[in-house]
Amino acid sequence: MSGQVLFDGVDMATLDAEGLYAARRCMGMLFQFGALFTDLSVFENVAFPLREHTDLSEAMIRDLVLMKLNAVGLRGARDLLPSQVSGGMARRVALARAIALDPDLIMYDEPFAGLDPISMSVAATLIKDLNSALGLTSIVVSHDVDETFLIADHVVFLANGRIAAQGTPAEMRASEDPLVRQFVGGLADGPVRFHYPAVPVAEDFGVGASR
Amino acid sequence: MNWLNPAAVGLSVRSGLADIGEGTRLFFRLVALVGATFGRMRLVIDQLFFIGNRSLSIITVSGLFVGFVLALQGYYTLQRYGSAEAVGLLVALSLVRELGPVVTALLFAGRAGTSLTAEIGLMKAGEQLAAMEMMAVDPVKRVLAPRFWAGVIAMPLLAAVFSAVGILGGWLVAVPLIGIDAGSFWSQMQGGVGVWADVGNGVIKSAVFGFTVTFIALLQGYGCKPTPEGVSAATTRTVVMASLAVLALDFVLTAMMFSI
Repeated sequence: MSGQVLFDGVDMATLDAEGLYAARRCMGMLFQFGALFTDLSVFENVAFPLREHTDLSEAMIRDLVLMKLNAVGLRGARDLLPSQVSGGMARRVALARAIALDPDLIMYDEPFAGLDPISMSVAATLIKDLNSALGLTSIVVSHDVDETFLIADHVVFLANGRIAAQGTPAEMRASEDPLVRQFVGGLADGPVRFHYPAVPVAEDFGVGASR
Repeated sequence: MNWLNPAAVGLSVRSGLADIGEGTRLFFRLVALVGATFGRMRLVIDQLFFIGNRSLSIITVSGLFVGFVLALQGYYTLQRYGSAEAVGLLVALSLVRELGPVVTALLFAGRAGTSLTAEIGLMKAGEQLAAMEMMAVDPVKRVLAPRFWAGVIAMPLLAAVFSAVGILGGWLVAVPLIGIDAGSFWSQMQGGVGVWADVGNGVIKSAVFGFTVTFIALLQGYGCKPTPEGVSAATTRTVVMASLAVLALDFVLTAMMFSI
């Protein structure tokens, strides 16, 4: 394995714990299931990074939190607990929390997994809008081809621990690469086999064996 | 014999050493974070309420009954030698020097230690600790340290409550029930219990147990596998390890204090 992970020109692998924590203050991350603090309300979840990293007054924090919640359409849900909101709403709260400190980079871990069609298109719209409104960089890890292609500028296919193909969504759709074609088209069999590696069928079922 | 295989022995020794190293590092980090933790007193007070106040009921009730039993058993032995009035002294010394710290620590491990382990373990399973790290908030500083210091403060206080309630329980059995003279019950106790030699010993013990039990609970929670089985195994390990550590340390501390 070789290469570097550069963030703002700094190689992340060279940083110590303190440097990493400093770099993370400019990043936001959306976990697959939101990872909200279950003992805090929606409002307090979004306020958490502000309280930890700033000395803003309570009135200022309230305004900022409500602005972030408004951006994800959940200003009215501020007093609910994470156990009282749906999966799609939890992810939007987590998104509001991720943008609380106005990061330069947001990483999304499977933002579309397990969402109904409405929540899914809400999530995709939000990612796209936040990206252009806040002028940030978004890295989306997803295997939902249609939603991702709608919002992505650059697509990278990872397979077997390597980059299999990359380009714009249009280039990917036009790709002749069999692996990309199978993935984009959602074909059951192709370079990625339908069958998990196994001994030959004949051996397992004893076909042709004389006992 | 699989476990005699040198590779397996080497692996278990190495991973054991790594565990000890991780635990030691976490312990020193928690101790070093004392200043930062008390700089945010609000977090410690919240945890003191959860750890301390919520343990009060079980500590009070247990203290009362241990006091009852001590007075009954003490009277049974002492009246053979015609010194039944000394039952107050016996109850107080047993509680303050030994039973207060030890029984409180065992109950504390079961009541507060398990909930700490399960809470931290489930936070880990829900990716809450990872989310905190991604927000550039150190979970050891924000989550573990306030709980650690709250446990260290709460444990001696709970042990003191246990001993005090136990002495009242002993009085209830000895004076109104058995009919021992109240004056000699209290005066023997007052004359025989030394503030530094006896009460001080107990306080030192309970503080050491506070460090031990709270640390084991946090270490198990922080290091557990983030699955339902992992959290349940870690909770069990907290009770087993904390109880054994308390009993073993109690012997060591008692022996050391006798020799001084």
